[in-house]
Amino acid sequence: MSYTEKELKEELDNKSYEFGFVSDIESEKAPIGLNEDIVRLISSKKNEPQWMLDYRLESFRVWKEMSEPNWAHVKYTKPDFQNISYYSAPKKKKELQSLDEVDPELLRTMEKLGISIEEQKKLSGVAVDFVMDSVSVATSFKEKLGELGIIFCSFSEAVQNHPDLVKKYMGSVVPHTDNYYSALNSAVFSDGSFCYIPKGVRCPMELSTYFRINESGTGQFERTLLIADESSYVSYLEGCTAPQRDENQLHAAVVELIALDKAEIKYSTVQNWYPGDAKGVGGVYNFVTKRGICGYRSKISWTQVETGSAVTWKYPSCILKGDYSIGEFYSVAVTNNFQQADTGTKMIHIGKNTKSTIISKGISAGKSQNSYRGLVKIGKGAKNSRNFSQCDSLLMTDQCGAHTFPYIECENPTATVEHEATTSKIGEEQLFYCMQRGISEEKAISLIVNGYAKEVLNKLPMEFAVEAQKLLEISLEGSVG
Amino acid sequence: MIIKELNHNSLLKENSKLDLENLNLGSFPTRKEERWRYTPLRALKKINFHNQLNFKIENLNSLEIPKIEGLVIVLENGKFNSDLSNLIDLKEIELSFDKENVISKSSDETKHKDYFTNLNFSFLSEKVVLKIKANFNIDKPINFVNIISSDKCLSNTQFNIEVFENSKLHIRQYFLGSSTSNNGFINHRNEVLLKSNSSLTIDKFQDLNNNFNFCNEFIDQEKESEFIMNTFSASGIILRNDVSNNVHGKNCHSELNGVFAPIDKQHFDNHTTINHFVADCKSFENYKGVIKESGVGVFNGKVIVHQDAQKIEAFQKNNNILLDEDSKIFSKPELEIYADDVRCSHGSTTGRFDEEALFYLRTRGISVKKSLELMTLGFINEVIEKSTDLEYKEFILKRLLKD
Repeated sequence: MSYTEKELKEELDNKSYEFGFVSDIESEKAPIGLNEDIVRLISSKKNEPQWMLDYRLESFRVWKEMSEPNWAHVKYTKPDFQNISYYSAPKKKKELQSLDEVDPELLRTMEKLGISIEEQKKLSGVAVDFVMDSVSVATSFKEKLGELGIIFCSFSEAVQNHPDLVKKYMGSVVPHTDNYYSALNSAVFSDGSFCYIPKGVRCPMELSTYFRINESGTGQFERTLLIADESSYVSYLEGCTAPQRDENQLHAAVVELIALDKAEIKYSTVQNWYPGDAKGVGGVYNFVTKRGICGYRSKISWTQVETGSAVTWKYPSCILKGDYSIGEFYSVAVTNNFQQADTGTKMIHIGKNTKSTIISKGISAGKSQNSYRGLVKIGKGAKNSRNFSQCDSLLMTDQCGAHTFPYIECENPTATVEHEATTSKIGEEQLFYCMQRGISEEKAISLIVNGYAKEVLNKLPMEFAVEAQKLLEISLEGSVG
Repeated sequence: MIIKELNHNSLLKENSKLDLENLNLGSFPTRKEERWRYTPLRALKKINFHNQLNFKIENLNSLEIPKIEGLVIVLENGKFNSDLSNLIDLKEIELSFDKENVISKSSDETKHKDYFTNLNFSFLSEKVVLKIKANFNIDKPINFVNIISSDKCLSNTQFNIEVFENSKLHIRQYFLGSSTSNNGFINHRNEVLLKSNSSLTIDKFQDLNNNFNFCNEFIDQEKESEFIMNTFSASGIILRNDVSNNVHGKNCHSELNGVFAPIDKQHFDNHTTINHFVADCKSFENYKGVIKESGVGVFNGKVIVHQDAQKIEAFQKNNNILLDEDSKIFSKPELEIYADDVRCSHGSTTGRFDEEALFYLRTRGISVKKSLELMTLGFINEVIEKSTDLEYKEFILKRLLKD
């Protein structure tokens, strides 16, 4: 029996979001809406010290005076900020000592996600700080990391146990006044991850956090703070899957990276929030502020594979402040159906002899819109700095769009800035070649797309690369134009 | 229509004091607007303009331009100057100064969105309408000279060109500021309509000295037409070119080239938009910036390929050279693509001259100044060589290199 195109189409139409399930865990929710009392409530729930509350209140005050930005090349119904519950935590009665005490439902969820903690512990050597609905429930490998002096914990724990570090670095890269969503995040952030690598330490394993939006109608406001002290190295993975929902969920995270002198941070993301169904209903709004700052001879490398979210609005950036520092950005952004993405990076060269590389691969299918928006700024003092940017877009159907908005600002004559971009569709000849050799159209396209995105996928750590490749395939199913 | 409303007489009266910010023409652009992000207009805003239009120049030879032959239309301080013009009678051409004449079709919608367009229509002092009848090929370039020679004079002018079927035309536009006038402002608008299988080349040369010049340009192309525009920006306090090239017919060719060489705090801004509404067209852009001594260059190119406009080939290029410590460049080459079977690309580079090449020239006994000049020449030659007229080419080079 041969497999006809019609059958393929039917199968694809019915194929839905693989990770779309809701785990049924009792959770504690804050009343809907946002006001000063809610901010105080969140703070008191987390038992925060006064300075943290002050920071939140100040952020909230700033946020109230800001207006939502609308310069991005995306169209969506603005979220109603008064119709969101700003805090939700899985109910827990006491401090958990071991995995046995974790809700079995939660463990099953993890298994479905393919990240069973036990498995992870034994086999992959990855320490997982599992964030479910904003509060970390299980943290593994803590002791082993502790021996090296590495601090890897949830943000709220860090506020309790390492207030000096949090106080010193929080808001130093993304200040609460930075933009609308970072102000909102600073006011109501629920939890997140905190990581500190001490001087000269090379983190022996990939640190990883799985984020997951679980409770319906809960905005997720994560905050990540990663500090790599002098001459240290860390590779950090962030991955997300979210359950299928009809209403739009807001996700406004803030990620701050601090690479001190000679340190290196590698930050990899696989983003697979629920993108909405084939008709464009539902899906996650992903408005994220990610930024890192580089000291002398340090390096920050962002790698991201973006396949999810109804609306993405994300620009992982590097401030190259120290001389000889390096910033890198590798990205694959896939949009299908009615997804919209406006993503890119900012490379701000301040120090001398700084270097940055941007490789961005956009793939648009269905009726989606995919934009690259990037800034390369060479400051007056950034002598001999260098930038290379390459932004390629691949169009799969005649109804989608691919856009490029690069901003190049150069104020130093000794700098070299190069930017190139191309937009095209999959070569018919390539496709023909594959199909001639008995490879189905669908398979052939995924083969070509994987080759196209290889430059970026290669930068991902092993564990992620496989998952990312699978995600690419899933995201593009049914997009044969 | 709104234009007529705006055209009422009270505004057209000669005014001795025009404060641009308080003219009720919509909000004055600020850097918060994306289109004006890199071009601050402080220098323009603080001047009290007048529109008392009178003539000062007695002879075209007193200006630093090569000898102009053939049909010459001269506007001085926003008014047609018949003494300086040379209106030889060409049977292929229809020339009029009719302000009510409207040729452009797509520009109507864009007309009232922009402050400087409103300013142009409200204070319009002269409109030149040039029509080329069908089936003619005019070899000799037609010259259009727009001079500002009076201090703080605001000149609002328009030039409409309609090229009928199968005709071919070459136009040279000169925007000049006399070296004795300061803070004059030519706010000009070009409207071009190319009928099917017609061809138009515009060489635009801007040498404003200590004056301002903004040009808003709307080009509509019908099928199989060809449009080429070469913009050479040599001097001016702020120069701004805003080109909208709308391609409505199949198999069109559009080409926008430019060289801008700001020096000594001059600010040159090139905005281009190419709208591909239909399939099977080609467009090319090539802009070169040579930025010296605290000059600022801006390039913002945009290619929009609308849905169903398949098989488009669009290429956009912007190369910049920064020669001095305080020079700046802002480059923003954009692509907005809504069709899949296209070949669109853009490239932007910024840097300085290759040290090794410079060293090579120096070892051959060539002075630093001369070497840099030679290398600049090599850098911009790609655009300059589009012109086949040797004398014009030499003149352009001389003014761009400012030697």
